[in-house]
Amino acid sequence: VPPPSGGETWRVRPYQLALLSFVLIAGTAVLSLPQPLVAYAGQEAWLAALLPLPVGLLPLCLLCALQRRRPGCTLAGHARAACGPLVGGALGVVWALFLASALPIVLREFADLVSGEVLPRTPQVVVLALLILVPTFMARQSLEPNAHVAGVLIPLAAGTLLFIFLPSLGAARLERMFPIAALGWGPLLQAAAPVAAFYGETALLGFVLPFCDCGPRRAFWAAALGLGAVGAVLAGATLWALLVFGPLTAHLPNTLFQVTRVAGVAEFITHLDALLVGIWVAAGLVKVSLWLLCLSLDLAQALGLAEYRPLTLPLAAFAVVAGQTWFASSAAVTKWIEQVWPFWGLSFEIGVPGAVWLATVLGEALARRGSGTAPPAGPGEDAA
Amino acid sequence: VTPRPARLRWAALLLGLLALAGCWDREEVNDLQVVSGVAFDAAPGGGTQVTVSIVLPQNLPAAGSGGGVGNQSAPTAALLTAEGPTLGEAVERLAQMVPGRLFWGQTRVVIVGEGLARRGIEPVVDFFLRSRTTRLLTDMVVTPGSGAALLAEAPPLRVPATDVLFEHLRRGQDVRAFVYRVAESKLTASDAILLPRVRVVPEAGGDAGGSGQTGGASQAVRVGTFLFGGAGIFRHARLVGWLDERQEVGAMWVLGEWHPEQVVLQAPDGARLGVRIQRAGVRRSARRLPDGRVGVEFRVDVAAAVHEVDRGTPPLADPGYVQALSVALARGIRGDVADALGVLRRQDVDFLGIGRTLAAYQPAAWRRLRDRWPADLDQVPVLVEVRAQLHGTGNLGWLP
Repeated sequence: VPPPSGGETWRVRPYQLALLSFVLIAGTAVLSLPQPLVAYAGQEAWLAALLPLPVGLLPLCLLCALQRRRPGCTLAGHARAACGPLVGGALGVVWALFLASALPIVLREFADLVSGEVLPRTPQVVVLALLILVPTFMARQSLEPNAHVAGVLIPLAAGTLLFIFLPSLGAARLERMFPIAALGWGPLLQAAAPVAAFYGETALLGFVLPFCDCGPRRAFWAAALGLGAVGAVLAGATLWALLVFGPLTAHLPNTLFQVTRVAGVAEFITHLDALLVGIWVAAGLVKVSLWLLCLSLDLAQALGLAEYRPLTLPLAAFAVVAGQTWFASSAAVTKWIEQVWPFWGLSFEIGVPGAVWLATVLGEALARRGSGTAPPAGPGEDAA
Repeated sequence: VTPRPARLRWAALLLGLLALAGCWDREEVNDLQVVSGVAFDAAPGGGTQVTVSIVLPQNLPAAGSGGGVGNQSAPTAALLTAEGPTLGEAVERLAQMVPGRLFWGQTRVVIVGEGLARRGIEPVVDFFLRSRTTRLLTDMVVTPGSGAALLAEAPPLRVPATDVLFEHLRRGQDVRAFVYRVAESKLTASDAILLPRVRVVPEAGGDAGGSGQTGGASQAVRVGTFLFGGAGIFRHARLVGWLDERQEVGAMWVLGEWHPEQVVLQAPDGARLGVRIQRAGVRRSARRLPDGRVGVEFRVDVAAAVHEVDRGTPPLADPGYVQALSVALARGIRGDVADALGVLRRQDVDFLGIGRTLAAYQPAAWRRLRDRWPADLDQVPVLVEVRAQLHGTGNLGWLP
């Protein structure tokens, strides 16, 4: 089942896959999560950021297992191949509905950041529309521009973060991270739940892995590296915020931007928040573009279309309208992420790839029983 | 029919027109009224009075003129005052008094008058944390009188009052309380913080300027009509008492954030020396003591050098004498800390963060104590260990 890329062949290198895996999650996770993490797990929040990493690996394992069987197939392609056009198409539509429910929220998170920090008087719908403009055109191009932009932006963002955060080192106090392991498992698991749903976004790589020019095993490790980097950055950012603000972190939305408000170079270079907003929004465009691309690819394939591009503009318009109307305030977005997203996100991120994998394995077992032979190994499988 | 790529280009062009719809957030620098300092006072009837010092850029010396060109008699800052039933309304009335917008991003000092400080400074902290443009590293000070009066003072050298306050605080001779630290203190186990005290004294009166004296009566630092020294004790974000200059120095050694720049040392042979503190740090921990109780330990490490000999002819070439001076310095610091601890126990306000240290290093013990904290401060022994070392005696060994 070829992907609906209009007959084009896309190629992504393993290191680009790692970068895309990083951007796909980190764009909003590092922005939104430190505050709820500290609110639930206090000074142990950075541990709670590392705890759910295995949850992010689960969809990856399922997707790579599927890739071994049918190399070059997207998640929607696997669903159609395993369950037939009707049931497989329905699974693809379910996945598309999930992505369509999450894309406006991703967009809204960035819009809230821009509206809150930089453009408070600009109508939010204008911010939303401007934020979707570039991702739409990037998504229409193909997957490759996203990979190239991520390759430029991530080192730039890392350098900017260091430039901004190192001057805040003077405000950090080690005592604020103690005691460790005093709260017990309850608060840690509670804090880890929304993080797990963010890490589970690796399921979207079901639309990137097929284009990776390496075997499933190597692709798995590249994507896992990206996921590990997200965990490390989230834990590090949360710890940094804790060392600077202590328990106040739980009351500061967009925590990283608050850190910039205590950073300054020799009383001369201050207000570094504008720099961080700029670089963050640029990286956010890649994330939004990836989500839009995955949604368009999936919906096109579920509907049996040969080309995904005609869907991008209507879906982008939908994301703007939904991003504007679904939530009355940024507080409502935060509440949704904390309380609904863990259940909503995880059930789809693990449920859909899991169902497709199960259908594939069962189909193979039935076929084996029918023919009495073992299925051949996939051509994309590594020698390792 | 228009070809598809052309239609797309048109669509992109039309979408791009959104950006021409007007810049809602346009802010011209000329329209900004830069607030360099602000004073909050209690107004009659439970309201709040806000006084801002606004920079007058047209009266500032031109760049490269060395400060000598310009209207020497013209003020470099203007004061505006407004009152309101809430802080927000007072600020809103202020905003209506100026052309353009009030810009809080360059506010260096927040002064709180005693009246408002006793009522509670939560609205002040809330205003600064919530605002988009403010800096969280803005210094807060408390004054026994009116904050507005402090802001209206005209210190020497035509420097605005806010600059004098900020430059003094920056030297680290008093405790510092940044806005976000005040907010954080409310969420910690101790729920207390110190704010530096600034007073206004007549030109002829008041204390003489000088350095903190360790182990003796410390002196306030005077700049023009400003008298720095001492600190206000805040609990639950309300002013509940004061520390004098020596008690403040004692607290600073233990808090470890800042330390006095210079102290005066009374040597065992009667000589008096000025000692410059080169490095000071504190390690705070809590541990179980041999008697089974949990105690808090402060280990203060100080490296210093002789800066001046004020009285006597001390044999500074004698290593034994220098060692004796180090011991005297350590003893003095211990005395300062004991003074601060005395106030802490008398007032039952944990402004040294003892509860916080217990919570960090002995969480099980803290769980037993926290419900009655700080009333149970007396039950927690505090050990103070000071290691002071004079590393240098300057370029002069002896002066007849």
